[in-house]
Amino acid sequence: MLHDEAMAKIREILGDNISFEGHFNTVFDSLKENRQQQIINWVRNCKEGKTMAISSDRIKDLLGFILRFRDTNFRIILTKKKNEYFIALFLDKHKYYENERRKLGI
Amino acid sequence: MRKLENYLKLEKLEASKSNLVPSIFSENYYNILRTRIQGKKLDANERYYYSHFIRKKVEGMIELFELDESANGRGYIRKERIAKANRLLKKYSRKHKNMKILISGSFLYNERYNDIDIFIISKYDKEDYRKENVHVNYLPADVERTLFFQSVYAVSISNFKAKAVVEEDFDISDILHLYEVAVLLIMQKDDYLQELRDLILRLEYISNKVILNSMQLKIITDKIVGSKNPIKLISKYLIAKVINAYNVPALKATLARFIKKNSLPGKKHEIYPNWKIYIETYKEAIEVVA
Repeated sequence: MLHDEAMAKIREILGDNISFEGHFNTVFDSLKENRQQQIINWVRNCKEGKTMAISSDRIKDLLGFILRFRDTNFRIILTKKKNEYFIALFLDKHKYYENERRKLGI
Repeated sequence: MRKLENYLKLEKLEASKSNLVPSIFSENYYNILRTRIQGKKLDANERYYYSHFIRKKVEGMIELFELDESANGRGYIRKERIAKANRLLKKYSRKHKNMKILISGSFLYNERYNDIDIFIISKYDKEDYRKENVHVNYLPADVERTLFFQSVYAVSISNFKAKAVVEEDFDISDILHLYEVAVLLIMQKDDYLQELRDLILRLEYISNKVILNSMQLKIITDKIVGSKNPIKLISKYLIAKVINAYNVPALKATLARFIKKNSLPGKKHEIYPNWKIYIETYKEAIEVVA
């Protein structure tokens, strides 16, 4: 699956306002198909409230969902305004993820 | 291995002449070695003597007295791995000219190992790569002053000497964020080893200014990962360390803030199961310092 198709699927689940951050396109295209599918399923679970989150101490009412794979160094953070809408899906290497996590306060 | 000449200083060689000549080096050999250390050119004849006799004698002495400066934390390194690591260091130093390189990880201290980790400090952002069982990791130029680097360097074979300086501060929020992520990953049944390593390394550093080397860190993380209840163990570890690391009012204020942020459920949900664990841990920490 290419990133365009994945982005369309994710927008279908989370809404059109979701933004894609980090090196989303490059990283997503480099993932194996089962990992790509895992992301879509995980996004769906986040939407349905089946996934646990971490709350930010820096940004009011911000929740962060985190996913990491066992066989790669990539991490994903999906952010959401509590009780409201999803904000952004960040996908990148560990070092960029660390900076993003600090920035978000999660 | 560092260049042989780097181990020898001209002043020292001159001061030791009476002990070296003629028992170890002939007058001629001594003069060739002296010329070499001065950085002057040797003629063909001198080069032959240097590489076939003089160099071997010096290398023998370095080996005999365990003076190999490329080995950091020599006591932790398996003797039979030093030569192999030095060969690899030489190979990768040729490939990555004038770059700081170090070999670290379980290859140096464990009988059984999976990968050989080679770290190369580069000012350019390069992609890590794997060749057979060698994993080459590129690190940024400013990495030397980080806690992570000092831990890796503490048991390593390197072609450079690093200063033992950590210029990183970890405030209580940084530590609690990392704790929350580690617990979340465990509950999600994701891999959490890297987060756990970072957490333990930082906890030891903030509480006692101890920089665990990679072997010590592995012993602790293996015990936690292999335990029946790693979350409980990590939580107790966190409490034991943070209570000694920060001044009490600041610590209590931050813990209270983290309890509050984890106590506010969404409209449709109860609070998440991981939040309950965080709250329990932070309350226990407050009780201990109260």
